[in-house]
Amino acid sequence: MLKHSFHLLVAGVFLLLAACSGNKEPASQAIKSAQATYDAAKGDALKYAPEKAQAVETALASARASFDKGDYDAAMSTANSVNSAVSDLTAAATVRKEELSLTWADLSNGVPKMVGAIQSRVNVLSKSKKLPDGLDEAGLDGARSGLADLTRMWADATASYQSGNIAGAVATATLVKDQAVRIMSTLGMPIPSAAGN
Amino acid sequence: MSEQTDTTRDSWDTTQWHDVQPGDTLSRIAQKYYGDPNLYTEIFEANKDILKDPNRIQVGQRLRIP
Repeated sequence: MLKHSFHLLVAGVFLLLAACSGNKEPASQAIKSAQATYDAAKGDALKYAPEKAQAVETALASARASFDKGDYDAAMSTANSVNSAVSDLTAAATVRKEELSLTWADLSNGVPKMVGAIQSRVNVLSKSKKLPDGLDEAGLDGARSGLADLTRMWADATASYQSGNIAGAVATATLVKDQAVRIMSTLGMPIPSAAGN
Repeated sequence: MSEQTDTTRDSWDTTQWHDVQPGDTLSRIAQKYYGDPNLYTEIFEANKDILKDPNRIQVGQRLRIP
């Protein structure tokens, strides 16, 4: 009876190992496929949906860990789930990229107008023998140096956009806009409504 | 003297306007915005489309302040 049970146990283990090793190649293929799917989406994903991209990378690592432990079913299941996660990731990255592109288009239309208006006002005030009420020499000097910063930062924003870094371009352009608002306020100029003030 | 926002402008428009009030002259307007009445020519040059003579402005005219 004991011998019979032992044989059954051996047979069971054998069947289990056979079943598991039978999933090894499909699991390996599933992980490779998931990695390839992610790699194709990775460029924009890391730029525009980094949190979701990180979640996919964690899932891929988990699939590999399961594979290394011989748990091929779990590896395959996790790898297969990555495909749908990458679809979500791609959609999120696309939406965010479009949002940033629209924001850049708006800022690149408006911010140069603000910088140009500040330049014009600084030019006129620089000819003035006496400054208007509410503005002193320190304020005008601050506007002059701030204007130089705006020009440099706007060049940086444009370069970022041209290199494909839309998020960086928008971030820098927003800083330029905010700085321009402060300078316009100091100079007693009206703030464009689109500048959010 | 008063400033007025142009309600028809686009949302990024930075133009500063001045609505001419009784007693205004370009020199007084320049004094207000620039602190120097001698800079009236800046305002005159920016409004040559509606001003022919810097000594003749009319109440109600809307002037750009560059």
